Amino acid sequence: MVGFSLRLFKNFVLRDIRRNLVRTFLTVAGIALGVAVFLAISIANDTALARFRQTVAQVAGKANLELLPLSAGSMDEGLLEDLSFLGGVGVKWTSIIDEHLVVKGASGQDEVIQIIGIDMLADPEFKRYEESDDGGSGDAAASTSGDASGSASAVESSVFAPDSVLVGASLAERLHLKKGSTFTCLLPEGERILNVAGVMSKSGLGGAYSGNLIVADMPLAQVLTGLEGRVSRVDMIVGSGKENTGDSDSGSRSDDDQVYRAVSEKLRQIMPSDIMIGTPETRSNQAEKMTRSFEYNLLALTLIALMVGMFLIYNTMTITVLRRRPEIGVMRALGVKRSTILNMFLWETIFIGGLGTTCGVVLGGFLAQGALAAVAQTFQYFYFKVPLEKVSPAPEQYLLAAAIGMGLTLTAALPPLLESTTVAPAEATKRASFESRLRFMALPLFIMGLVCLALCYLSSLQGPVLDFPFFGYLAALLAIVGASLLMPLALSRLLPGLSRLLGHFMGAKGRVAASSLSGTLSRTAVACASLMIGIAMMISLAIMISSFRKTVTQWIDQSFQADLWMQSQARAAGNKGARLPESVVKECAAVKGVAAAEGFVDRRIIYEGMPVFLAAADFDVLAKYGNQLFLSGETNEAVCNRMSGSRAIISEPFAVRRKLKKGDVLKLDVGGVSETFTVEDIYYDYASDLGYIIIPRDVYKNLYKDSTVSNVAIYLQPGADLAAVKSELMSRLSGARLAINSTMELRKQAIVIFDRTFAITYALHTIAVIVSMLSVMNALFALTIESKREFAILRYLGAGRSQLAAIVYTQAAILATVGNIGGLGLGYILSLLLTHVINKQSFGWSVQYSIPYDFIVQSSILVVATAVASACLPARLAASTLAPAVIRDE
Amino acid sequence: MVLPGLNAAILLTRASSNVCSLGVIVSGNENLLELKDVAKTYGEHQVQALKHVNLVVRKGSFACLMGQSGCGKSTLLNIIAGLDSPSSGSVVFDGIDMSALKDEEVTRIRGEKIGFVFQFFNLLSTLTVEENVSLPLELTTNLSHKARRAKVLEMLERVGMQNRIDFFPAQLSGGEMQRVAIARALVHSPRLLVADEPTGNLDSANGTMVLDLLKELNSDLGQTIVMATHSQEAGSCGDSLILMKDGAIVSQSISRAGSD
Repeated sequence: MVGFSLRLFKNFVLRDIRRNLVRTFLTVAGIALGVAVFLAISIANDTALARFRQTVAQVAGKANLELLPLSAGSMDEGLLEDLSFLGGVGVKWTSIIDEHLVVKGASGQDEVIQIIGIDMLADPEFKRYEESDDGGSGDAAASTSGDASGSASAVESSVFAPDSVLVGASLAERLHLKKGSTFTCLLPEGERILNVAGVMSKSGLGGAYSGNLIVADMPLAQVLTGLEGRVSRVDMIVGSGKENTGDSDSGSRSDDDQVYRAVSEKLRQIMPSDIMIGTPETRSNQAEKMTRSFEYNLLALTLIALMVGMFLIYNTMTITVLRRRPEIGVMRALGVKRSTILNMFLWETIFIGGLGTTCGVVLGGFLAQGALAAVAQTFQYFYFKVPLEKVSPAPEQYLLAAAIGMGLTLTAALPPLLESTTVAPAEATKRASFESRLRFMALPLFIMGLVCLALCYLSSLQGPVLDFPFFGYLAALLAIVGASLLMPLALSRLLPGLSRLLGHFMGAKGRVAASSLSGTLSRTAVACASLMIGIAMMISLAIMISSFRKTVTQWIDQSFQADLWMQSQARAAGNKGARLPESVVKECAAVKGVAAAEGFVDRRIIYEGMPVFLAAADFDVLAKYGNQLFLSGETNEAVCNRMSGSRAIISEPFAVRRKLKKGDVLKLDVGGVSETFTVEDIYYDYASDLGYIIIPRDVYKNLYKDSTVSNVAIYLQPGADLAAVKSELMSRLSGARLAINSTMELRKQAIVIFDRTFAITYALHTIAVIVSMLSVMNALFALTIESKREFAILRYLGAGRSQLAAIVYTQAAILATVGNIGGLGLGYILSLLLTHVINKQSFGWSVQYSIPYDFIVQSSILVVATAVASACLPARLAASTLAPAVIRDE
Repeated sequence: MVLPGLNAAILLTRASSNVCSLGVIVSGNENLLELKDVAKTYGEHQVQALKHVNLVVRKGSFACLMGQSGCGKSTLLNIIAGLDSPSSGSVVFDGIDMSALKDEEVTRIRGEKIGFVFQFFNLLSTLTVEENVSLPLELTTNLSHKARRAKVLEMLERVGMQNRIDFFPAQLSGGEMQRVAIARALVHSPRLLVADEPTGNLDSANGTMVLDLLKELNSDLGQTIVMATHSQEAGSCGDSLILMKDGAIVSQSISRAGSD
């Protein structure tokens, strides 16, 4: 029996696949592309998080307990005095600086690197770095010793020399550094030359941030980061380190665990409430939560490409089964069981799906590097600055992609597989029976489609589930399914009319083209639906991007009323912690032509377990010159005039994500003291999806004892010369390294960042459209093969090859046009869901809806033109129809 | 040998091989079609489908081809109609050497001057009766819609299908479908009607009706017809009967129906 099945598979399936190589290739390519983009995006996303985790682990080393500041980016060094008890219980600890620093690159451009400050006299366990063999500036950064602490001591002597640091291997290679050479770093107050005390190998701490870091002794690190008297966190090693997190039940570590729990408890008692007692994993988990929305959105987009791939496999298997109904009928009549027939087609599905999935997995592995490059800047700009150079795929990602590829293939093939077994031998030879059944089902399918669309509407009204827009995605899925189900009835009504219309204008070619499509509704509907989905994805993303872009530019134009913006070059280069002294605000205000200057400062804090930016603004100046837009509709002046004392305004993403509204109370833990702020209003903001809390500057200074500013907004007097004021400012503040931009320049920068962020989205919708095109080409091939008889008759009746080709091109144009029209409608629905439901719930942004008509018109023309071009091969096939052979076969 | 009113002649020619082939002149005063020493071989194994066929068909004649399955009738019809080219020999249709023409020119001549009727009707199932019949005119002429429609209706009336113009093929009986197929084959007034087993898929009543129609078209309109058939009854309809065997014409007889 197995032998018989194998013979059937070989003779019935493999031979057919060989005979239809082009169509098999199209199907395999469609599945492969869908799986590939899914895998590529998965790997890119996971690599970003894995790199973050790896870096956290490399910097933490054996540390298994941390003290982390919540209400500020750093903690007072004075708190360390309370940790003297740790030595008594065998806990090793050290303070750490873990910040950004801007250095001058080899070609003169500024680049942001990581600076790790550690106490070089601390326990050697915290200094797990090794010096490179060749002293740097080379690829071979091999370690000199397996004993980290031993090799560390070899370079320590020079680390204590003034302005001397250890350099990571990648940085050393890029900047051509070796032991004894120098490089320049950019501080808010100016440039500073640093000496290279040694180059670390890529193992241990030297491998953190992919080797793009410097390690300095604590005092120097504090100076370089402007954190004199403060530290980023405290790392502790309890017991043997790392493995002990207090959760272990292992008997052999029970003593360590007890110490761990006791130390944790003691720290909770003595540390202020704005110091969190956590582990390195706590930071990794925060990063994961922070980037979740971004990642899920990307993955959801890749699923649409997979869904189009599903239509492709459905189409292919339906055509295969329908085309071979007579053969099935003969086999059934000869006594072949239904299960054998099912098995044959099942193996064919597995063969095609397996081939497509395998190709997709291989291709995805290659595409992953490109996907990582596309998402890296978004991760680094918005979330965390960890170098993301090389993908690090995990085997389970490949397995997941393969499982999804095969799972969706089998799901899509299920209806045609069942169809292959449910026909009686006599019925099997009647090809029309399936079409007539579909026509009969068209109305019920249409009604089901309407129900899906109604459910889509209801789903779109639901809120997020655990901060995830589950119902938003469900609504999108329902919209896609619903619109697809409308297609058979819509086409059955549209095509006869179109046949008459085209007959009127094009004669027999147009009439035959449309009527053939109408006669093979099952294929036509699937091809149109898959193209519709691909185009809908393209249109909806284009609308979403256009809406975002318009919203952001309008927001910049309206909210950024200052004429000039000043910040340190270090901050402009990407070091968000770089500050300027408050005195620059007064100096700015004193320049002739300047009406007012407003100092703004922000810092990342942890609010209820998640990062947020706490900022301080001078609301007196803002009230007079600013133009912040508020959700309440109140004027900027009215809100800003009320902003004093314990009042705060919060950004919309923060309000949406934390479910806050006007009048709610925020509790900020500052130095162990809980400070409450009333939400005065919520303002529109698109700078960060983490959100902002802005409090009055005087309150901030008082609470945080911090009078620095991150940037200065400079408002000019009417008629003042912008260039002259800028020049005067540069000359007055020549000591500091400043970046002064006009609002126009700021806007340009914002758009560059914006486009970079959406680069991956453009790539994804292009791939979805390519898969759709494959689907159209596949359908056209199928139609051409199915229409062989018609073509042969037409050849008998005097139709030339060019006329037959024209029929196929017309069919392609019809499919593309119908798919396009459907895609525009579905795309509109999806765009509403994306902008007003999914993105709102994911990121909290209100987006003004904007349709890019020019793009839509251009892309529609392009899609139809591409579809017609894709008909080239099927048209050649049609033109080569040998009439006698076909009719003889009939 | 010329018979009064029959206008047919048989020319006996010597074949190059051991096979003897009959050369046939069928009916009429003027040659419409002339096949000279036509042979057709297929495939790697050089299967000979036609062997040195000589045939002349005169205008206004009704020639019936008979023979067992696989004797070469359909191949001969395809070569006559320019759907297939001979491996050797020449085909002159309406004074034009078809074997010297390019595919597009043959297609144009076929569209304008030849009509086909098939055993299985071969109507396009997604087009109505009127649209099916209109196809040859649309594909090969630049007639206005009005003129086209007039011709279509006239032809449908001639075959008795004027009341079925908006029907789809699936809504017609076999006989009706064949009548529509005949209307489609003649709507553009072809010089030659080629019919391949036109009654092979019909019951006897419908078969007789179709044959009567063809005879009527031949006698009333002077339509030249070459018909391949298995049926003795059908074979007796024409003015000559050509028997084929193993790719060669083996005999020709004159039907009484074709004589005066």
